Amino acid sequence: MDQFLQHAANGLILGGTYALLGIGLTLIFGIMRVVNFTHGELYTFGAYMVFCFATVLEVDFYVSLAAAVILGVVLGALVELILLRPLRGADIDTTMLVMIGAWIALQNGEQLLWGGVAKSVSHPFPAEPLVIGPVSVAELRLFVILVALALLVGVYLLIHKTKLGKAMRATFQDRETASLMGVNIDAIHTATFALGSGLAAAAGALLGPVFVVNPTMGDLVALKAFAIVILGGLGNIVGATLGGFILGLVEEFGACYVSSGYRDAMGFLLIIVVLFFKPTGLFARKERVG
Amino acid sequence: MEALAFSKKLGTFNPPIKKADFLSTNNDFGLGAANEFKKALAQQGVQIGVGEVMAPEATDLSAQIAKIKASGGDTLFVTTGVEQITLILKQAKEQRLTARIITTGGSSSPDQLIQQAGAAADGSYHLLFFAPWYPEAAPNPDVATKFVAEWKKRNFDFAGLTEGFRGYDGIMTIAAAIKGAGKAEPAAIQKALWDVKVKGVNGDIAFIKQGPAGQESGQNVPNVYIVTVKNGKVALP
Repeated sequence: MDQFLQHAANGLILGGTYALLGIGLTLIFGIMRVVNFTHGELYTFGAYMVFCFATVLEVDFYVSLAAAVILGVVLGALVELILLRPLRGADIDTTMLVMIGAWIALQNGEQLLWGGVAKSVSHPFPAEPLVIGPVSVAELRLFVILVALALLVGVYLLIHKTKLGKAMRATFQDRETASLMGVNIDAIHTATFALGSGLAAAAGALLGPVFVVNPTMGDLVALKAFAIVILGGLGNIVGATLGGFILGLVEEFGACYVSSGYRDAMGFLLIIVVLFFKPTGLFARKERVG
Repeated sequence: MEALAFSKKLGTFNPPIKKADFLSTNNDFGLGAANEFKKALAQQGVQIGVGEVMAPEATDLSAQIAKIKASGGDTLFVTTGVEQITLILKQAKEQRLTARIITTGGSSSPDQLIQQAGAAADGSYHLLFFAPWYPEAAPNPDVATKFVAEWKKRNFDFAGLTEGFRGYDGIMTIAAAIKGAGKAEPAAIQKALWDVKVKGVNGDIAFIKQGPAGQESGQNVPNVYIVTVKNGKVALP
């Protein structure tokens, strides 16, 4: 039972971070219909930025987190303005190729700038874990899950309860009609991509201190983010959140009770099963967010 | 070869290793090492617990560590690269894993681990093929001391010595084989390698035949060093 509870806690914490990754991508992939191969690199960028501020420049940890997210938003906006805007209306293959190129360029840029050796991010949380009965959890991980949950709620409210969110949904449902209603289409495209990128950077900035930071840390993460988005239903914020938690729990319990060798495969196996019975994803509704 | 060499040094550990668990990267390097260590330790009467694996790029190893903790072994053998070892040390501390952690494969780079894992590296043990902190303890102390001095003189990163010596020993071995062959022809050099005797940084290098007759590979029995981390510094156990 003790082992079960520890696995449940591990799975929920892991799921929270997956959910954070998933909602960033579901905004871009699910709503904008842009297959964003740079998602993992924006995650990596966030992690390197928090390392740069908190460890190299010795800036306050929380200020470093905020700076990393803001810079992630700026980088996302630049990617949209420089790479995606000229391609609006181009076929999906062209956009995909450009995004793959951007992914490779960003990853190699990080390697050139920071080197291949992994970096450890300093943080103010104690190394000793918090012990609750048979379960032990690092305080840093608890902080990460709380911030992730706050971001998840914040993004949901932004999309569903604000004018900007309504404009986003309108734009990606019917661009022409939204434009006729006075929505600035260009600004909405940039804002959506920047928001999704900021969320990826936030995930990287939060998880960088938990793990270590290296140029390829975003590769597997991006793959899992795509899995979460597909599992939860494209463009569905709640679906991506639940998809993240489901994936975290499946991986954790699968690794323990089935085989750790197939830990990463289990999530994808789950997706195959889900898509077989529900091709639109677990939580797809008739009316999507986008 | 590493596992066999290690099994002769089991007396280094107090309390002794009674039950060993394994966590290794899911490739030939990790699985091969885990299998060899399991065999070598079992022959010494050590009970073998669980054997967990992880993808080389995996970062969250909480599931594997929770399972290993539940196994109740007193020692965990880890075979992977330094970045994943950092994660294991940190996450083992998060889950209050009390088992002694021993890394194998010679790629643990303890200085880098101390820098990256901080206090979580304390108490961990590392099997290395060269301990540059103690060159005088090498079987060929003059060679090892000279190599470390030259490395420092050239301002190379000290942490790289635990791997960097391999290149030096390798080139010295090849040079000796070419000299022995008397000509730069692959077949002659290959034949000469069987007779090579080099005083390397790791120790005396010579090859023995291992494997099915006619298909033998050349194996060198390396010297294995065990170091530990005490108060953020590398120490001998």
